[in-house]
Amino acid sequence: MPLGASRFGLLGGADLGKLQLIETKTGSGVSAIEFANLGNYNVHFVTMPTMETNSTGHPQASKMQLRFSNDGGSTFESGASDYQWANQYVAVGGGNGESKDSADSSIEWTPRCNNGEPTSAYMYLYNLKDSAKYSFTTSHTTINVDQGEFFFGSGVYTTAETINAIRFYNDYSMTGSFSLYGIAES
Amino acid sequence: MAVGNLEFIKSASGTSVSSLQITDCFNANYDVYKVVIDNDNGSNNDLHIRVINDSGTVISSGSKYDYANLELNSGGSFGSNKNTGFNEFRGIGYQATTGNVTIAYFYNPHNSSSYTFAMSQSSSVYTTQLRGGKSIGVYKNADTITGLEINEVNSDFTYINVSVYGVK
Repeated sequence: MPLGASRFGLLGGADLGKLQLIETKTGSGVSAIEFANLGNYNVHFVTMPTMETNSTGHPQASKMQLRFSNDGGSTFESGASDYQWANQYVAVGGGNGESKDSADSSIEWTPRCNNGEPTSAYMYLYNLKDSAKYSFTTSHTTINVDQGEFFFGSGVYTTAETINAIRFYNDYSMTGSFSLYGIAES
Repeated sequence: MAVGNLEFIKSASGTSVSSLQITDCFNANYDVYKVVIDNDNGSNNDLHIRVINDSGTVISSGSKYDYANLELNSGGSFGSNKNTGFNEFRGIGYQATTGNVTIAYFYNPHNSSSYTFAMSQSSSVYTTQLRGGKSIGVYKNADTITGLEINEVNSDFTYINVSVYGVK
């Protein structure tokens, strides 16, 4: 049975700096980790300290995906051309290359997260709560040890609307955690 | 006063402007700064950024800027843009017709014994296609830098918002 846990930050508490923890979520054997409390920020920051899945054989579908919701997390946008993303991968073997899609149903943003091969990463998300702007992401991963490559890149959800929930998911069962922060502007 | 990890220093904004200066945002209290830039413009291009020294002078000559950028395009080949001994930073962020967002870090700007280093990540939409950006730069003069000037290319900013934080 999938297990999960949440830990909430000090929204509305003492001013401990402008990088403000909203929530930390962990999961073991889960298909998705969602955040439906985004606070009120123009810029969000997410850390993924470690994440692996139960996939074997390095399938493409073991890369981490992201979707957005405009209805508080009841549904997540998944149209075939709702998102665009572009990543540069850099490999220890000396190669590097482009991984991109200009019309996709999600934002793909990490190397393959195979069983026993965890990946760590951070991501910035921009304009989620702004109904007049696209929602953008920039991200950077650590090296995936088995594949010997890391990613950095960007994504966009190409509808200007308020996003009030986000979903990190994988086609395989995930074990790991995310922490969501807001960056306050005053 | 905030005493946490990321401390807000200053913000500046403009609408229908060709340039925005954010002055007195770098000081002796921090070595590392996070700069958040959000803008919209009538045309697509690199942002042009110059540093401001403690005399209030915008450094726009003297072959002191090096930079290198990677452009990550969702609908085409990736590109690069680089220069050495230039008169400004180009590509620490973009201007774009459907918005651009940038997180940049500046290192040691206020240290008169050090060059000022920069790195950034950006995201924008260029005529329906995503353009991500990753850049590095260095201002090769050991000056006391206290601010930035951000300039448009070919078209005024519809709006531009900049926030600066000190990193503890």
